[in-house]
Amino acid sequence: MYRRRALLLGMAMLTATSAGGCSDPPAAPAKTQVIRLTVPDWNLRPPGTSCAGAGPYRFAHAEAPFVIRDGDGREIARGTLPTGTSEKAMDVDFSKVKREPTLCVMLLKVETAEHVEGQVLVLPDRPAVSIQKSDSAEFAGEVVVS
Amino acid sequence: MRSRSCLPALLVVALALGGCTGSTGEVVDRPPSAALPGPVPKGVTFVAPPTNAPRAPGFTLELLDGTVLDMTEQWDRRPVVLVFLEPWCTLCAEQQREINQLVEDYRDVILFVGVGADSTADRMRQYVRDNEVKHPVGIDATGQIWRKYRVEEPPLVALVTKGGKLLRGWPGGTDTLRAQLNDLVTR
Repeated sequence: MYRRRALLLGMAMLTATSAGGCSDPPAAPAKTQVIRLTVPDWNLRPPGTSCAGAGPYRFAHAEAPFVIRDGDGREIARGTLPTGTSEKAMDVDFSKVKREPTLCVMLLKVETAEHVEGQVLVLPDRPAVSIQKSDSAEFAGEVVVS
Repeated sequence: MRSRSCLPALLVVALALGGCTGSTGEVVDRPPSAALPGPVPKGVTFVAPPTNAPRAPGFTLELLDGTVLDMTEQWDRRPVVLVFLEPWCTLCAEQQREINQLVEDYRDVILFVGVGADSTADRMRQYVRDNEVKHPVGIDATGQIWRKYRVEEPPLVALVTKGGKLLRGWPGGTDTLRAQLNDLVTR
């Protein structure tokens, strides 16, 4: 009786050990990260309005697909650009005019378990740009398109 | 016997009905076609543009339904409002309702034409449907028209007078177009 119970216990331990020992550690869960993307187009707009990249930056617009790759070129996230919002390009009082130099800022939400800071963002037919550390804790990284 | 003789006729009817719908019963995607204006109504006149107004760059544009518009011919007959837009442009969509209303209010008097650049014809058709666009739209695939009119970012609205003078352009769109058109047209 004892011998049989010991055998069963041994088999159970062996199964548990082999099952646990050979599997990969559980993958970290994907989380939503926000990347602040700035289009330095200096276009004349009212601040705080919907925008897309202007002039030579017209490739950066809502619905344009992007990919985020790590140092080995592996894709870690993808998505499409959202509509941007214009922000004052310089700290000058232009209150007497309707439109002033602005930048177009887009907030990209990506779902990935990996840190996006230090990776690169790629837009179609454009060179990859690195995702830099953000000064704000609100963002997982910052990109300035070129 | 009688029912067999009716079969071809039933097939024709079924095919004719089926031709308008897809396999799932959805309406087949047809290119939207906004009618061009008819003759300018009698009694309508247009205010002459300032003598120093520049000449508008002429161009031809293929519309989504395949019609090719020669804009010079068009503004020889009546003023033209060019609406530079893209389907992903939020401001364009926000202003489309007002532009649609202007198209109704100035039917046969002023021609409104939408000019896209970077989008596909299918995506533009979707925009036209979603926003119930009431004017013809074409795509400037080479971007030459956009460059001629210095369109940095959509929307941009440009008003060309009868005779082809570029009266005014509004980057970012406009909420004063109606007032400008009222000043331009007497009827």
